[in-house]
Amino acid sequence: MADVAQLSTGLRRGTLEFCVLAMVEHEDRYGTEIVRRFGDETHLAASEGTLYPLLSRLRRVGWLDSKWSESPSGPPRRYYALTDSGRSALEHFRTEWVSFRQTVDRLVGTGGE
Amino acid sequence: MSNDLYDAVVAEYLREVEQRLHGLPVLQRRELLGDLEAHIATERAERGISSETELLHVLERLGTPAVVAAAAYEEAGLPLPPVPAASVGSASGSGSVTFAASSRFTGRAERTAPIVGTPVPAYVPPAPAPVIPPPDDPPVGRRGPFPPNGPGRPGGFVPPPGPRRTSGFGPPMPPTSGRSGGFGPQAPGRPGGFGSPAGFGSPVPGSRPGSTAWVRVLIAGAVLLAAIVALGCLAGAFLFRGAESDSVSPAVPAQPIASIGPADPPTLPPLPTP
Repeated sequence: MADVAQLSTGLRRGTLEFCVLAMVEHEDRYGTEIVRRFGDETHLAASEGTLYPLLSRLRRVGWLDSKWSESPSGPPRRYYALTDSGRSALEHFRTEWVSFRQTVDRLVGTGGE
Repeated sequence: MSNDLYDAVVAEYLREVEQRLHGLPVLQRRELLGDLEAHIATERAERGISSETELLHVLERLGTPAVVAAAAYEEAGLPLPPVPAASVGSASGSGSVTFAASSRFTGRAERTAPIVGTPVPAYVPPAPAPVIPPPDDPPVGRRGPFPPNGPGRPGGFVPPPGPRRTSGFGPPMPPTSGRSGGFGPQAPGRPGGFGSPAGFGSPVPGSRPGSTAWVRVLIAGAVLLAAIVALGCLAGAFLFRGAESDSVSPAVPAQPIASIGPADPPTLPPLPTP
């Protein structure tokens, strides 16, 4: 069924970007590093290449900042850093996510009770 | 794996992605292609990719060009445009035309576009205006310094009706460039346009404008001087004859001609100075 096939996509939409923000919350990371990390999470990203458009959008909205830096072992790297507005957005998501998850768990019966 | 093979495989992948990104803003398209290229280069350097299989595995993890492009459109908030089947994949043969890419992505990609029967891409790089050789006899209204209207280009300057002019605007050009016309791209030797007809009233190539006047002044002065000298000679001759007739008296008997010699020259009145 198409709706079931789109379930993962629908669940990722709106949450994956905050997972990216959380990844660079305490340390700047370069693109390939972020992509590799999410590439290992099969339930998050469909493929590594789809994360670059997401990083681009987060940079355009001002939640991420990027800069190129020389690499000791390869081509230059593009490092991403969390901005102040991105940090605020991440904190807001955490609050909303907890409430959202509790509501869904209660309604769907996935709370583990 | 040789560098050439690596470059070829990567370029093919990026080209496939780029062909699907024609609906994105140019900066986002460039950014994504640059990120993908940097990702592949980083993977190659940090993971020591040495075979084509390993490289293909990196590209496989990145995702197919269609998946990557779909994510790009979704993040940009743009609808995914239909992808012409003829423009996807390697050489698709008939039904597509290949032209030089105006892409900003390293200039090595080629873009294919369908000829007919497929949707028109949202972004089509502007093709250069075709250079059409001008006709031998341009129509009236296209003479003058204004560029001719291209095919399908409406409007433009049309001079008012009137006698057909053979020369247009602007200063005449010396006929050294082989063209006498004055507008648009012209083939050498194209008739028409501004400028005086060749060889008539036009300055001689290489001559200075004041040289002819100097020659004319010198000739006129010489002619005038010659006329004055001639008139002076005539006046002198008349005076000489008059003086000679006055000095010969009828009472004086005529002498034989033989007695008149150069030792006894007649006394002549002084000649008037001219």
